[in-house]
Amino acid sequence: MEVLNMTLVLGPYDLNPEIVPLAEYEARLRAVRQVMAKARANTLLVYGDTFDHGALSYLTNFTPKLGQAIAVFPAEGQATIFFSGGPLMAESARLLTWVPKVRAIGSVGEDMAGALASALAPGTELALAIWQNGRMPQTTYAGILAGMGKGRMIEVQAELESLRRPKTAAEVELIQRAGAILTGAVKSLRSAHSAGAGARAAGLAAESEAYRLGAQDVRVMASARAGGTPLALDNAEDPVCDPLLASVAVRYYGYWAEGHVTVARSESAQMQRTRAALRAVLAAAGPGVILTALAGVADAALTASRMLDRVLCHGVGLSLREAPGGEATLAEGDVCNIQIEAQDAGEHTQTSAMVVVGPKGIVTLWTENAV
Amino acid sequence: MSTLQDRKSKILRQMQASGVDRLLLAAGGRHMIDEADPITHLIGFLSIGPALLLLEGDGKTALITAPSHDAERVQARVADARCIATDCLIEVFTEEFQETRGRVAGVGLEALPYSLYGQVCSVIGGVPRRFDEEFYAVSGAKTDQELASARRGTEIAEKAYERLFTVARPGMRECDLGIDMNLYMKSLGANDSFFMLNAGKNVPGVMPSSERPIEIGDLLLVELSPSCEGQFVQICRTVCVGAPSEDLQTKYALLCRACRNGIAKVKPGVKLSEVCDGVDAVMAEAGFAEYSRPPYLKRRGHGLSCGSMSPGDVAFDNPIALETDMLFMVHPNQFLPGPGYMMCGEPVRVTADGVEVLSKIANTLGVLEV
Repeated sequence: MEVLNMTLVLGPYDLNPEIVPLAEYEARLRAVRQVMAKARANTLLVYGDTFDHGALSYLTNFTPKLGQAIAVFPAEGQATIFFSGGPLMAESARLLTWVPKVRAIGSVGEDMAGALASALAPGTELALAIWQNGRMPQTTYAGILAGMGKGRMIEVQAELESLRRPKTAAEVELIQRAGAILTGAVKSLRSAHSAGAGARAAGLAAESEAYRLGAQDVRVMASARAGGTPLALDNAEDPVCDPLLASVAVRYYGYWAEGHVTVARSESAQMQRTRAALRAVLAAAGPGVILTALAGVADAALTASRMLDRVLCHGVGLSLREAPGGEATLAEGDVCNIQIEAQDAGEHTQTSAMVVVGPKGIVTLWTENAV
Repeated sequence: MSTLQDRKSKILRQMQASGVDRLLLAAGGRHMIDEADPITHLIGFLSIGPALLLLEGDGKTALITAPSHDAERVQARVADARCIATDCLIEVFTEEFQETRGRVAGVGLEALPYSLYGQVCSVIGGVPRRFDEEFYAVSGAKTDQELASARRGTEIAEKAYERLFTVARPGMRECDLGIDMNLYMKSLGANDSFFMLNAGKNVPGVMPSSERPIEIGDLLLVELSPSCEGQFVQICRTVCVGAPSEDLQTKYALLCRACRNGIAKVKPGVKLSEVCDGVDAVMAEAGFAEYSRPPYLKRRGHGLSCGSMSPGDVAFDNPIALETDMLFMVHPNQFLPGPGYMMCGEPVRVTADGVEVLSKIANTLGVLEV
């Protein structure tokens, strides 16, 4: 789900080894360095921003609170994280990560030149891999290129992303806990709607409850008219909508849970078909199933309704959208959001579930039906 | 009266004077208090992700923004432009760009994700001439709508500050107080906020909230910066948790006096450096000139973005002359020996013959009784 970029995130982001042990980060870094070695890359640069820092979080736990952050990992030795903000913020920034060297970004070009040079033994040619979120701005990229000097770029994005894809049992548990918070948030949204609240107020009720339950970050989109597509809440308008379509995502210790719901005073036949479509898709999903095939299952189940051409299934984890996606095949360890959105004669409905793919089938981690 | 249409007319005239037939504006989807966004500045739209806007010399405007499911919001928010919400940004841009010919200049292109930047330049046939300075220089004043949003935002910030005294308490984490106040500002109509709140004894500066619990004896540094319909505004405040020392009270009163002196300089034609000088003079007279420069201090205020950072930083070396309806912050915020860093700042508008301070409640040192 895509909302307006947050200017500055406020939640609790300190490193907590009781939740994600330091040994886990060490293991991840070893796996990443194996990918680097295979690709003959001797330095890795990991980029994230306020909106999406999944890769950065995966390796360092670091959350960029007001802009972008870049972590530089040599093939051996200590990493450095550069963050947006003033130098005086470094002390509090260090609390967010196990990486001891944390500095404010001054000039990207100069910072990268210094970090990349010190990552290598003298006389070694730089072979740089970049792991980024697809949003790195040209200004930052130009700074990195300037800092690289005569070094060369190695492409390993896909290989690195594949490391994040299968979720461990510990990660699934964190996603489930995020799902429990999501349940609370959606319940608050429904209660507010029942009490006559507008879309914005109902969304704020969900956000407030999610933070109360321990969320680090919350994103909400909601209809701007009865049955309308959920939209970013960009102004003070607060229309009362029935039905109200809402998309809510909550983050707990880095991991996201995402839900797409339809809230209405009475359940229409189309809503029932939408839920039936979700049940059909959940029944069909499993290891080895191609994601695009699930769209056909949903379409058949929706019968009279036309399913909107929206992404049906995508991975969720430390990012709100990650592998698998597109035409990928589901595999054991995948955690996915499955969303059905249908439209017929102006009526618009949606529902969703989150699942983890097991060796023989799926396990539902969260579903709107349970709220 | 000043509207987005007036702003557009000025920009079109500047394009003509500069030999630019077509202007390409780009946004990366970030909306920050201290960053420019030419698309928001021209048409008042906040994009979710990357967006491109073509402004032709005859005034025709085409907005291309992602993703496609944002179409309803785009149509509701944007007037006087053809709008296309798409998941295929570069393909649609290519079609639109090739409709017409002419000399092209760009604003904000480097905010695009780098792969998209490369594709856009490829469609154009190279990196276009930069038009950023001219674009923002002719349109530094806020529109009536932006000023109305700023006034609403200031009211929201002041109410949130009042709320602080009802919810903050020792033992509460900074981030929990920040979340509460942020949600409150949203409930009053803010669409976002750049909200920094941190606490400590002899803190070196303001920064994003952490998990540190507030303690008795702390200074709470509060930078409330809500955005209403994309227009940021800000008030800067300091709160003592418990009874303040005489030294703290004296030095905070000095900071407030410096702020008032800087604000008193504001009127059309005055350079921002003179406003800075007005603040610095009070601090220098009190013997604190050393603390008015780096590494202690970078600036005494800044523009408030709704796409434009005009008139820039309130700094000793900013030669920009103020114009009617420019909006910016005057904030002496600085470190002083003894209390450490303290915050004090107000949003101001340049009027026809002076200044309007948007905040209505006179600033004094806050005291959280414990």
